Amino acid sequence: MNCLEFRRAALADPHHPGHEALAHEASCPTCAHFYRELRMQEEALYEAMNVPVPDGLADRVLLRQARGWRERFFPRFATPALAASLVLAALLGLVWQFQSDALTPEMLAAGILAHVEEEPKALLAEQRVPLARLVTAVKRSGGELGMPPGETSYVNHCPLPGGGTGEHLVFNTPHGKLTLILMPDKRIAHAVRLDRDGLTVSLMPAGAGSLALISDNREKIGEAENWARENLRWQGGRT
Amino acid sequence: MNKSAFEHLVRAYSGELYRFAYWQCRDRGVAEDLVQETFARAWNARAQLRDAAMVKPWLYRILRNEHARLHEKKSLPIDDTELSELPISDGVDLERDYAVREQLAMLSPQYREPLLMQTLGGFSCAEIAETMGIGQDAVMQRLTRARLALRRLWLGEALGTSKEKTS
Repeated sequence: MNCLEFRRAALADPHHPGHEALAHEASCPTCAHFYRELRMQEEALYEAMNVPVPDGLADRVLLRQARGWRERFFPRFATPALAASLVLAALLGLVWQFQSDALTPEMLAAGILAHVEEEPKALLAEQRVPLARLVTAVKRSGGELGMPPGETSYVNHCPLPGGGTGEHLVFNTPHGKLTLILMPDKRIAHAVRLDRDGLTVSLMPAGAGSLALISDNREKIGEAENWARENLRWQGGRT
Repeated sequence: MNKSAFEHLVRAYSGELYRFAYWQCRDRGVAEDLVQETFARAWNARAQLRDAAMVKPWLYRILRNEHARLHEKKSLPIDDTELSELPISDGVDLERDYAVREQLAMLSPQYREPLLMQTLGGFSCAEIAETMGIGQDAVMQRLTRARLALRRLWLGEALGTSKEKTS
């Protein structure tokens, strides 16, 4: 095997170039150097491809599948079970309502703070998110955005405390990083503020759900609340 | 395949499939939808899986088809996606990861796809060839070209100007 053949083999499959290629590499310092570099490149490539997987992905896949299993089973008994299903749905609705209400705004705020602390990469990220993506994320939560409070540095679709998902956004504002979490299904009875570990969270009703503003600048959280009231609109009114 | 085996399958492959999906569409939400749809179709078509050892290429094939279907329906941009939309990882060297991701995104899909299957999925050239429905020589050529292009970017050389010295 000559150098050209070695390089072809190594570039096609760096981890398994074959015995002949490895024998050539052992006897050719130039190709050995090339191969070392190639493996470093492979390592960097793997790290770069290895994007973070959203928390709870497998659970969500299984949950959807479980729903599918139930849907496939029930049609056989559709007619006699229809009335019972409606009653059950109404009961589940009441249970859901109860559970939703059972998560007090204080508990939800504490859960949101824990989520922010558990996801430090969100505050470190500098994605330079295009405005269109930001608008889409707000729309996905059923809202409309006026002016953002600064450049968006992070957008993610995240699992929320107590179940469900929401939009996790981070902005670079003149007063530092401002985190906004939109929770279209988390209805709260009243607004609440919570200070812990140098972070302040302000939880506010928003449309049919709620939103949370998180900042390490306690003095400026009121300003952030005003921004949310003026720039986030929901069906049925503003924040 | 029973429910328990399916659950093992989801737990074993959802992360890997998500990453593959992400690099196909470069959108986290769409990538998750693709994974969801892949497993839904896999469950519905489980009777077609004759050989349990082939489950991984089978899942990749379903995901590729789903992505193609989505692309057909929504005309998702493949080549013109903004590089600035790429997320940064929680790796130690964020800047380096970001640069490599930009380089990876610059590859056209026909070169990026076999590279993802080999690097992320650990597929052999023969398996990639079968999944993509092309010849093994074509796969090796695409992998070689993809790595050469990345190497040139990696070394900061202008595309198409590099000549390797060979004996």
